[in-house]
Amino acid sequence: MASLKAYIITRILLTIPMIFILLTLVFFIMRILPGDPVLAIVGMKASPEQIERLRRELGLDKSWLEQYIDYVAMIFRGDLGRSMIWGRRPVVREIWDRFPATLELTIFGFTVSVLIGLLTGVLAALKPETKVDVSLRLYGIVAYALFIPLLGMLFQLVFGVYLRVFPVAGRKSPLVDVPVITGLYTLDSILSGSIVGFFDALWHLFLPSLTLGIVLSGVYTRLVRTSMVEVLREDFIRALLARGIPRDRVVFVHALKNAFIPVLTMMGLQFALLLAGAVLTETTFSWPGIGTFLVERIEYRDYTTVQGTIVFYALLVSFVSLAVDIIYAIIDPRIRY
Amino acid sequence: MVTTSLLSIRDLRAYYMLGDTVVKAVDGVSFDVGEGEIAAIVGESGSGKSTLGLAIIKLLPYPGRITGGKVLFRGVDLVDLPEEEMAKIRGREISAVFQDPLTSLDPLIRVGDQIVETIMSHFDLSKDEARKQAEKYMKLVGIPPQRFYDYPHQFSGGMRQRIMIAMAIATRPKLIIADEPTTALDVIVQAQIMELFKKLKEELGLSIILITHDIALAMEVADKIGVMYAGHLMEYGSSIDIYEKPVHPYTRGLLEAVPNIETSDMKLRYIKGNPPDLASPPSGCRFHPRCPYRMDICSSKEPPTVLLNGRIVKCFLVGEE
Repeated sequence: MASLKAYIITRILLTIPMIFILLTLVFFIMRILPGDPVLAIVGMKASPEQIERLRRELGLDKSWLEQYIDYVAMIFRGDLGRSMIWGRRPVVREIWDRFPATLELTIFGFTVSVLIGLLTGVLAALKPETKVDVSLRLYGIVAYALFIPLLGMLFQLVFGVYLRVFPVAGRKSPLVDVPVITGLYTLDSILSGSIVGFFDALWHLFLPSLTLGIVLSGVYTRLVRTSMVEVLREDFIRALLARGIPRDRVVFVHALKNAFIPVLTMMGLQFALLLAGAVLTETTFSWPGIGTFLVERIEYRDYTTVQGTIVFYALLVSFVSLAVDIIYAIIDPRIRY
Repeated sequence: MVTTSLLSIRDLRAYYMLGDTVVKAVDGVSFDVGEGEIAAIVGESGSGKSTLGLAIIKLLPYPGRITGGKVLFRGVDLVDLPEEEMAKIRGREISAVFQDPLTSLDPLIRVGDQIVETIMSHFDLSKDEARKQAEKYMKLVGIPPQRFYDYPHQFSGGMRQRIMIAMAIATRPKLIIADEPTTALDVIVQAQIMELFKKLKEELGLSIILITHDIALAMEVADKIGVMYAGHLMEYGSSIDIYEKPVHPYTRGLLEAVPNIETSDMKLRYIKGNPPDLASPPSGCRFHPRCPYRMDICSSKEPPTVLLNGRIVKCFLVGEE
């Protein structure tokens, strides 16, 4: 276990340069983009003096290099700074307010994608080269190639507009009131014992998580199939059958567990894609999470907030990939760090 | 010694259907295995011996199929048995041990749990009872029971094969099919495993079908030896008979090819030519292109299977009909 600790420390140290590079890129790209937060706040009609004062206030009168050094120095103090527009709230607070909505959506979207992926992948692997297999593989490619807003709008049109069975936007109905505890509405409604709130939250989650889940499931379908077909050909599968272990148990316990290892790797890699997909899903379904927030703040050129959010995303991605590596070592006894 | 037949194989055919070509890997094989008997099936690679083993427990890989014949196990024909019934026989009545112990265990599950799983899928036992059984069988095959919680990769090849054997016998089957059980292991471990098989035969009254390419090894442990060539069983009889008086030219060739340090000339003997392609085997006797005693009839007619003093021979040298 000592080596695992060393591994974790190395991994954490490695994330520092990664975040630094990302941050530098975002810092300069934001400034190269035309426009700045001052214009976004006061508009075109403001007087030059007004604009000048605001620029000085925000530190935008300094050179890019000076701004960069100031910002990095602030990051090293563990501070993400304050937003550049309106209330000038601390960036951390802004993120923290919106994170639960994103987390809830990603958890559900992720679950949907893995469930669909496992189901379709195993089904295809059990009947290789049949019509079922070919159509499921086709599903895999099509799902992967789908554009989230397109699928989202299709769902909104069908389920929201024509059939009127699911809401097309938001996280809860206006009249449903559940006290915010964790910010995850499903969890909050359970904690406060509100059945109505729970189903209302699920009802709102349905279309967004289905959209996100389907698009992300394509990769899993194909990966689970390939991996499962390979495992089913292994000697130990035949040996298990020869010992009279029931076929269902061989397939769904032994083969699936072994086939799951590459899928787990993919889950770690897909996590960044999941966050990116969540941004698109949130904007499509007016979901008040970090994705919607980020897009809005990019438009306002709220430099500090955008930079801070990217740092937050980067930390999240590296944390998840580290967690995946640790889970890996738990599932596969052959892996030692 | 009179033994009753535990397994009677009659005219068994197992083919691989590869599109238009049919690979006749096992083509009309018949023999008997008695209770408490070790029968070795010897042949070169590609002779169909492994297919024969898998056909008996009906685990032929796709696109393999049993296309004819009978596998009578204690009088019941396994060929006609539905899959659910067959699953009850596999492991419980007939177990198998395969060639590569390194890949024959689930790498993610502790070996003890794999033995327990095998026991519990055939007997109505509590986990604790199954565990005690598992430890008993681990001891029997020479694995310290304290290694119950170790994973497969923590064992050597020989140890893993012992675990495979422990699992094969833990359900107290009547017959074990051992397909090249020691080919992947070194000679010392091979000798240990073979001793173990003999011990199991004596102590538990097990019958074993030992599938191997090594006729010398077969001579050491087996009571009966069957020689397979290109999907046909060329000769089958007691190992002493076959060793002392091999009848079929192929059996003679195999025995002569065994390196012997007592022969002085230090030459490696072998049978000239290669085994045929089973998708288009030679006409008549399948061995005729390589046979030193070839006659005209050999290439035109398949030799009959002749019973000769308690052994079976498929060759024109021993009888026309």
